[in-house]
Amino acid sequence: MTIKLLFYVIIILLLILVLLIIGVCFSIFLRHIRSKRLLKLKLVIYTLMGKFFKNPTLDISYNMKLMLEKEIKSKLKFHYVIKHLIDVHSVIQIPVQQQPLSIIKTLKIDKRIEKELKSSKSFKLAQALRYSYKLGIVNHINHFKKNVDSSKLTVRREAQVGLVVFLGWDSLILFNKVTHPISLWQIIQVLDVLETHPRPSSFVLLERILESNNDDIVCLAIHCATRFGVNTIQNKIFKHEKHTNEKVVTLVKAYYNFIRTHEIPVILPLNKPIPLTKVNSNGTI
Amino acid sequence: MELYRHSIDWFFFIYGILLFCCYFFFVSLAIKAIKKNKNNATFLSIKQIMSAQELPSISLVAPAYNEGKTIIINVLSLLSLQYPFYELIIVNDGSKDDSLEKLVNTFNLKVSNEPIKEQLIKTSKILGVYKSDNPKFKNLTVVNKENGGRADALNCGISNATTDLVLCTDADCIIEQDALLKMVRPYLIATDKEVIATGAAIGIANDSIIDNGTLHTLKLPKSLVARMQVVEYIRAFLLGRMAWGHINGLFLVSGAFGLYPKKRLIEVGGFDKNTVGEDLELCIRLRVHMERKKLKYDIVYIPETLCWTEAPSTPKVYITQRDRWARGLYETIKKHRYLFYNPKFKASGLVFFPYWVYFEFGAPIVEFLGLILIVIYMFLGEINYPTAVLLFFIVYIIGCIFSTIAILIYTYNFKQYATYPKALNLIFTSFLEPITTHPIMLYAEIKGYFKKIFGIKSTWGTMSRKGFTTNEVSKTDT
Repeated sequence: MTIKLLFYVIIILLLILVLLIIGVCFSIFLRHIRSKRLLKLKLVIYTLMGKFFKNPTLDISYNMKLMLEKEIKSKLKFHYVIKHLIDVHSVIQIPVQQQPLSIIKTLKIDKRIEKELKSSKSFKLAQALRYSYKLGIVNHINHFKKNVDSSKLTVRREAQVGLVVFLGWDSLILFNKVTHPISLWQIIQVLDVLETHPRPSSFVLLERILESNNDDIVCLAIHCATRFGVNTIQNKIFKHEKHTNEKVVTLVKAYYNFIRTHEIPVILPLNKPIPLTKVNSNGTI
Repeated sequence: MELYRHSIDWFFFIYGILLFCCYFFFVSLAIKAIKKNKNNATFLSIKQIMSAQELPSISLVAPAYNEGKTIIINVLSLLSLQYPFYELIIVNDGSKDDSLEKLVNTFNLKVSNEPIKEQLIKTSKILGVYKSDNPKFKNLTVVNKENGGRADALNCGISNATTDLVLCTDADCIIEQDALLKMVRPYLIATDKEVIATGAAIGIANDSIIDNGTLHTLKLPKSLVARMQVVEYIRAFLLGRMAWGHINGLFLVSGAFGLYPKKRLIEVGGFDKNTVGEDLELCIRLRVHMERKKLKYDIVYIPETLCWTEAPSTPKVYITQRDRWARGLYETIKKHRYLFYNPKFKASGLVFFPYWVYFEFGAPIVEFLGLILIVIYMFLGEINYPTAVLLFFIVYIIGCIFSTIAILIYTYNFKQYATYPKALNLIFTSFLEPITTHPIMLYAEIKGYFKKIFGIKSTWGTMSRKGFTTNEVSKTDT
């Protein structure tokens, strides 16, 4: 009886092993086929984008539209197409009406993204938020405002960055609502995006978020003040030099060093980079 | 007597079942962890990281001891990494070969005029700090010091680092070009927990072709011993480490490739010079340090192979390496035995450390005792041979299943071995492993424990290397 049982166990285990080996072969086959198909699709997207670039008023030919519509029905290809549209969008700076937005509307990609914005799955929702701001779909802004302090890390991260993309410096006021921690990457992204927006005439909003109860938001504000050489709110920043959070204190010190070693004009001209003058330790410029 | 015998039989049986249960649990955790890593990469691509303006700076610390054969190719590789803010510190740990001369001549190194910095961690005497006068190599620093061992050399590099993060590696490692961009990701996305260490999978590049310090063509090693280790590494990194990382239970970040915050390394006093398992020991000490400070922390593992190394290709060198690893494990377990079921250290003391004691440290002992028991039963004529053979076969197939699962996960997620010849070769190799390198490894581990128990003095051991195959050599061969 025991021997018979052991034999059955061995047969089952061998079957599992054979299935796994088939699985390995199939995964390689799948990878091969997938990469071939995606390469073909990539060529179509880039050809299309090239044509658009040359002639912005061009309509997608009926055949191409049909082909793309059919292709993006697959989940994998849908994300693949968007990824490449985002790449093009980030590289080619052309007026809105000539951007991939027209393709997005023609292929109803925006509708599909909107549908995913209602998803309860955090990954899907965060991805949809990301696609929205990367592709410049401003209509979805309410979803960003709604999720700015989501309990899901990826969702709130994308919502916060998206708001900065759409609203620029004005979005800072919404950071007062944020109660959850934010990562260094969020800070980096927010600062990088703010740099692409025109500088505000006053930094009242930055001053307000400096009073946030969330230490990470205070860090963001100090980082921001250092990066953009904001010296009009230095008193407010120095108030944090005895903060209980070590990170905040370190940033205040970095800000202080920055202000001490750089000469910044008190009134900053609008839409122009800050003319920073490095002051050497011996006081010479 | 009968009861006594049955208890022993049941002990081995339950131990085996528990071990397999742990492995199955690891598989499910590893799949989740790999998916999580993929999701993170979706939101934070290396392209984005590369273009960011304020990234943490990184120092690469690579100790070199008699690495003359491969030092130049490896330094070139380390200098060509994609990361905006990094420096490379090569610590020549009193090499007896021409490593330093080669470095000085190739990179136009000159002794730095700056006074030698006060060492934040005490190390052997520094003989000189070299910097290149060629702007192309401005990120390179070579510290020449008296021999003090790997841990001492790493500590010297850490003390000389001027950055936020320190990547400890070996001068004989080939690092993927985008490795730093991927390694820094956990530090960038961390929110409430501080990342105290990040590791990544390490691959074996024996017989692969290296061009300009980068991996040009990945080939499977010709030597069976090295090829076995390809499977072993895939299994260990993809299943074990990823699973532990997912539940924040990682106790080991490989010494060949680990990224740490400099501040924490200084706080704990760097690597322990008195153990040969310095990577494991450091990781545990960092955990203990954070637990004592009551700070939330995380240790993260990246499933992608970001670092390639040369594995022992002969049984002799393999035994030397595994003997050393076993001694390192013994020393670390002994040093941190206060963790064992210590509720002060929460899961680290109640779950993770006991696992290491029972299944990482204990497995070779149990296996060895099991073999002795079989021999005794054979002499006593108390073995039911048909049942025993079938049971052995079951254990063997389960081992093969685990290896094949690891290979499947790897080929599904990563491209390196995703070709039919390579994958099938690896599967076949994994089937041979339990009857070839595994017994050798068991012997080496027991030898290592034996040396520690009986106080037999041992050193690091010599790791003779062939050196990587360069493109030029490969062309000449063909």
